[in-house]
Amino acid sequence: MTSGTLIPSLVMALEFVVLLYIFLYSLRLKRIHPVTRVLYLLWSATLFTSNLYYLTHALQNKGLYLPFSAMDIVDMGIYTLLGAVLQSNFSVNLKKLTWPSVEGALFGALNIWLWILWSGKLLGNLMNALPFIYLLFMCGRSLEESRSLIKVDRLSFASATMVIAVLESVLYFTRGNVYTVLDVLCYILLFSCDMFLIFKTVDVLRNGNADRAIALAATTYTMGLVTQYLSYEPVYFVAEVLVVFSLAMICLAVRKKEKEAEKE
Amino acid sequence: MIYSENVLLCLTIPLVITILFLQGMARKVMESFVFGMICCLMSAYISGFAKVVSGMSAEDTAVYISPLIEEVMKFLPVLFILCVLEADDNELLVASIAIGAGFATFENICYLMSNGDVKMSFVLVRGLAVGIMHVASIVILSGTIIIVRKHGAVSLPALVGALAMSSTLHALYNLLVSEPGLSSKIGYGMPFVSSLLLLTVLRRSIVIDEKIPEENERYKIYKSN
Repeated sequence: MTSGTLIPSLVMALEFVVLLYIFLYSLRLKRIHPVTRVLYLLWSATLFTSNLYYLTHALQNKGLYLPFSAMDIVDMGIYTLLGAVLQSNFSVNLKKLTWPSVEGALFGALNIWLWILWSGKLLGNLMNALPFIYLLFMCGRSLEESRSLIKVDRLSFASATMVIAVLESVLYFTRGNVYTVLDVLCYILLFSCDMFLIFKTVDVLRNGNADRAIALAATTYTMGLVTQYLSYEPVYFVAEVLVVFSLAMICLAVRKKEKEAEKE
Repeated sequence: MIYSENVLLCLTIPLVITILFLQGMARKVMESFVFGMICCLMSAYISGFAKVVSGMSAEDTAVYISPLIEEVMKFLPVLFILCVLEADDNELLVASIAIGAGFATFENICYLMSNGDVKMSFVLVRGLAVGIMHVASIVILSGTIIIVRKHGAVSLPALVGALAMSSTLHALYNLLVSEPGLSSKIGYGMPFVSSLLLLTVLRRSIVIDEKIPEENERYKIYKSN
């Protein structure tokens, strides 16, 4: 292992431990709705095995980034399954369009455009387009259904995400000092959104109900992915740590749901 | 160089004739086995095409792209059996295993023919590692579908998730064996170990879920003792 792969391997090892716990815990769930439970189990299993693959890839010194591969279909599975978990948990009707869900889907589509722009990987990102849009659509709807954000928070968050998408698009075509300023601004906005969601989720995990916690934790995870994919190293790894943290929060939210169901 | 189409024809014609004489589950198994062989040839065509289009080396294609193509090709007949033929759990599992076995058999035959005189170790690796891996990955695929169906959660996300699970196992195997040393040793052992685990899980779930009450009771008494 080289020093260049040490940090990513350590982050992946941390993720591996968290995912192993999530997977083992999801096997023990009993009181959650069976459909939600099986989709959540499948999501955690897919995430766990894909992490095992990425960890092996990093340990073999084959680089951090994969070309178009089987992992693209695994990403599809991860996005659609988490979306399906939210859809099942909040009984979302796909035909009913609301402003938060449309905003989420739009942000998802803009992200796919940005990933294609920045990475140049057309096929893999196009394959992931619909699943990622679906996931963000579900995040928007679940936040709305659970009333997790008050109106001011919702509007601020939606505006920030749109500004990020626009700035990142502009960033691609700029050079020099303007690029540096915009780049820093984008990072500040991305991490502000992450931190806002993390604090909200932690607060709800301590004082709120489980459905709110699930909606917020899933949105935090998705926002973490967005931050990760729009960042360069070493910020990429910081975002990856946030993703690992958000995964732990999803697990805690599901545990809260299980405990609430036990009380009922 | 061998002509895989000739090998396929040579192998499938007697099997197709055999299918005409068979009925019931034996017929389904044989049909699925032949489909598995055809899927293998189609996968080889598509992988070759993908190699040319992507400009990757043969090794990179085998490590990164082939698992995706092969798993999707195996998934398609399973999807057909699930959605069009509306097979029950047992039929789905048996047909899937036969597809995996057909796929692995045809791939092994082509590899052995194209490599000529090979060492016994190579033969064992082909049989015990690659061969089993195709069966194990499709069992994961169909097993996941069965579990999901039992909970009434069959949906596009669940199917994509099942495909993702089987693709990961296959991709992980190809990744592990692409490097010499400990990595490849773990890789060669992985299909066998995962098959044993799957077999244990399947046997347990089949015995428990079988619709024969007295068998269930017997199993439960046996387990409680």
